[in-house]
Amino acid sequence: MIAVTKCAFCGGDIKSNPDDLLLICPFCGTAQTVEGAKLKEHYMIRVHFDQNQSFTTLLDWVSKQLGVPGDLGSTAHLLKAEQIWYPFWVSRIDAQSSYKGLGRDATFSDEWPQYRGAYKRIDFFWKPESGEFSRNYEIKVPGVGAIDQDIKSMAIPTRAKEYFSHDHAEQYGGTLLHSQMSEDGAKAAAKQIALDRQTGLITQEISKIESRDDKVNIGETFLVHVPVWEIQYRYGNKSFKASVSASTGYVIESEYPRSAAFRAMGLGLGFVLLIIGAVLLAMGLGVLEIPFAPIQELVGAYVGGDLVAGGLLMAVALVFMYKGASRKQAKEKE
Amino acid sequence: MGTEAQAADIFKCPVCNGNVRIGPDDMVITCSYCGSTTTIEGKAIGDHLMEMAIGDRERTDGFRAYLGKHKGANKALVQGAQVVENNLIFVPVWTSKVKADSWYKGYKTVQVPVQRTRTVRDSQGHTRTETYTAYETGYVPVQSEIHSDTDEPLLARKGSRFYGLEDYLKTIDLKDTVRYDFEKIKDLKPTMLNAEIGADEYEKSASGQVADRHRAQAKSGLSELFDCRTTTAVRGTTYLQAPFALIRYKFGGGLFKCAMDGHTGRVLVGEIPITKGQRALWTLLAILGIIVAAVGGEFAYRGYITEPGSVMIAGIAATVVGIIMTVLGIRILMMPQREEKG
Repeated sequence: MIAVTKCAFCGGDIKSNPDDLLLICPFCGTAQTVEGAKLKEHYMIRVHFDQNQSFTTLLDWVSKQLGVPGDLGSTAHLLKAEQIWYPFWVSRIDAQSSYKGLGRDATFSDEWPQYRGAYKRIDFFWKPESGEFSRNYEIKVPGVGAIDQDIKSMAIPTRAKEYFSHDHAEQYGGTLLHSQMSEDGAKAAAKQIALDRQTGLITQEISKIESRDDKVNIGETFLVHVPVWEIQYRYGNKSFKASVSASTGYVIESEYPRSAAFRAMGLGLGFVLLIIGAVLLAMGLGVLEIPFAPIQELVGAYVGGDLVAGGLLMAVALVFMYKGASRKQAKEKE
Repeated sequence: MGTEAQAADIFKCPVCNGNVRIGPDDMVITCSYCGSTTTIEGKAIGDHLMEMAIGDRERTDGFRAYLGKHKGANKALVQGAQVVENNLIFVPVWTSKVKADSWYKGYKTVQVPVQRTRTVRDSQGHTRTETYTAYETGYVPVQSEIHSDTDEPLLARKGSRFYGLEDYLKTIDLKDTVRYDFEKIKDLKPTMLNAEIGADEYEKSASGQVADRHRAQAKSGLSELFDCRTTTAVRGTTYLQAPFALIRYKFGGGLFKCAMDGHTGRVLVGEIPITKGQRALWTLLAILGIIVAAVGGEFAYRGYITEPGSVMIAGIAATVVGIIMTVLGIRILMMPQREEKG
């Protein structure tokens, strides 16, 4: 279901899905509505890490993860690096909400003689309350819905923003994603988020809202495209995926390999510990007797110790086995 | 086809008439020629201050000092760390004094010890009464106030955040600042960022933030908060350009980072590698923990079946300590790095 629209500025063909509401012309880079109206507030963050720098940074970063094979940095090779420009809408919203409603309060009676100031009875009642909350919010709404959660929630890098430059985006053969949200849609979404937060504040103060009046002022709203390297690399005979911020070199997330030795150790050690733990636990509970007298006498005599040590060992064993068996993803903390 | 030239990229400095390249959403502009700072409409913003920054080498020294402090048993860390990124960036910060006064009302619950008597029958069939302590719930009405007067620095950029930001903002102190003068820092080749958030917006954000903090503080000790009213007053809003550095370094094939105050060269928060030797030590701690817990468990069990008392309590305490040691040891064993404050 790919539709073709003519760019209202250069006449080039823009391919888009029916969901896309704000289109970026792949030829001249102009952001425009489906009807051809230009969006002025269209920004970008510059690329500071090219394909190779991003891949090197990724491998260096991944190398410190638990159980990563030591030769990852030298033997992993890049299969594919695609630069994707993700659109985000950012709005500042000024919200002032006055409210009226019923809030909880209580009366206290029958003081405890042993504890001055503490009462045996509490009786809740409702009382009319009114007030006002004034807050300023900054709200970021991803322009596309079906993308990875970690990319959706990534912070816009603290780097200079610039007017969107198509030349710059093209320099690395980047793919520009259209926004599935129009400017009005983004403003409406941001307004709703701000109102929900105001509601959160009000319901902390009163339980039943009888009336409220919200004055919401949507400040400047802009669209910013943020470049991300979507990397696929191979180690051994498996391939792994990663997303690296092209402007800061941060690893948004990455899958990574674990060495066979690490897995074997995790699983093997975990298994041994699990058996020892289970035996200790069973002996502690008195459901198992070891036919070898010296051990039975030594270990069986300490019921409490057996139970505690057995339980702990089994817990540790499960952690080891999990680490050994799991396929991992890691994210860099911002 | 190229992008059409955007007139808004250039701002004419109202003081020296210079053409200043600006970001599209910049609200407060610092002239790159004469350093004068105005709003985008050309209005004065009052004091424009900055914190002085230190050079590349001093920053590296500060970084090595941080590594030295946290190297633990890893003697090779300070020499072996190889800095791959050490960029100085001046971030725009708004700061002001926010005086806030809250009045709140709610209640909390306490356990009230009550002496009770009960009749018990002993093994010979005699009955006797004994007293014991029971705990009953008491409701305590609370009505109190919170007063604060604090500095509230906030980053004046939209939608952005960086590693160590919260710790960094805490270090900002107007006492360390000087009047903004680009000449004094230009040799350091810093990246300068203008503010995207104006003073009015900042003041609202700061008041809201303090009010929310008061509410959270009021709520923390209570079972329920009925009412909380806060009034805030913002004064002395000041614009400040503050130096920050992100340092990334390689050690043992891995990549680590730390956030530095570019004024003092002190690392605020950073990542420290864990070596194989250190992992072995933590594993040892975990094993020791299991032994301690087991011995404790044995004492607790024996205490319990003979006569509950101090032996049992000591046993339980040892078990808990042992479990904590094990959890800590295994946790660190599994971590890719430690995070340490400077």
